Amino acid sequence: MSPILVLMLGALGTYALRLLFITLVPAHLLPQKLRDTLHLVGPAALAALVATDIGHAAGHPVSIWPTLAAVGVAAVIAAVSKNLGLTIVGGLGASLLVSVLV
Amino acid sequence: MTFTTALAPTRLKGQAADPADEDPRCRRATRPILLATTDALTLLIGMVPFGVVVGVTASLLDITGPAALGTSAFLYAGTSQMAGFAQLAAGSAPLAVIATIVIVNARLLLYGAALESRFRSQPLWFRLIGPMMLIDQTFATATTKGPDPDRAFRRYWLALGLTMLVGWTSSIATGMIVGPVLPTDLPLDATGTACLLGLLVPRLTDRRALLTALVAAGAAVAGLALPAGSGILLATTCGLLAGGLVSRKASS
Repeated sequence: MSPILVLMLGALGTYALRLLFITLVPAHLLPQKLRDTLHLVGPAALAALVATDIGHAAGHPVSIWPTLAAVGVAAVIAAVSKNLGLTIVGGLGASLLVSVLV
Repeated sequence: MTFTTALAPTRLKGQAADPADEDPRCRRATRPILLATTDALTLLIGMVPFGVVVGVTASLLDITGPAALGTSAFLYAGTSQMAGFAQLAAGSAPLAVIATIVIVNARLLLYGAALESRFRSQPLWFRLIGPMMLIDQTFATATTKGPDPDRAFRRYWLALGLTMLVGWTSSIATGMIVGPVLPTDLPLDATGTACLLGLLVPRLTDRRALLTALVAAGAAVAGLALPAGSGILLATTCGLLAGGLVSRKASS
């Protein structure tokens, strides 16, 4: 099977995931207990993604310090300003600075 | 049933007309599009470096341009694309590559469920096409900043998703072209982490959200060794269970 076909089938499976609870089985048909926690999906998934990124960076001596600098600076800026653009630019600046210094 | 009827919004009898024109944020048709474009350009600051990394990885693994770019638009999920590239380069069986991509993206199920209320009364064409643009960043932005009226949300969502898709695909192409001349130790992927953090922190507004995030983060670290991104889904589920327990205790 060609790589393009394999990736396209993966994309098709991903589309099915995206579609399932929006169009095929709308989430309002799910049990109430499940629906009560759906507003926490954002904090849960984003925290899991951030922790996974940090965890993977910890395994690479080259990337751990720039990643930690980006996370530290971004967390402070996000908490103080709640401005996404500032947070990203601050994180990018910190990671570049540390990668030059270390 | 005519084609037009099939694509019409599924509005309940007696339900008010779309109040898009009455919402001050959406008085002009272009307002949601401008809002979405601004949000997308901000998010792209964090996504473009990661897209470049995906492009560099694709060129290093000898993934051809058409395979990388042609599928990035349909797959539209960077982490799973990277995992798929790595497995293809390692000679994994096609079914294993497909399963990896689907497992890495399994959290999109939860995003869809959480965002379903914004799609419920939308026309069928939007409920079929709109979910294609569901990624971490569009989910997190639309749930907090997406305008309420249906028509305005449609414009916002499509403009947000398409602007980011163009930026994302362009960044992958850039990575494939400039990859060979880039220094190998550039911390480009740290920007993506900063972007996710920028989306996370403003959501930690109460004890329940904070506990959910802490449990999910702890579970994600504990599950780092799990195969191909399944740790993220497991960690998200653990966080949701913790948040659900707190709300049940609070209400009893």
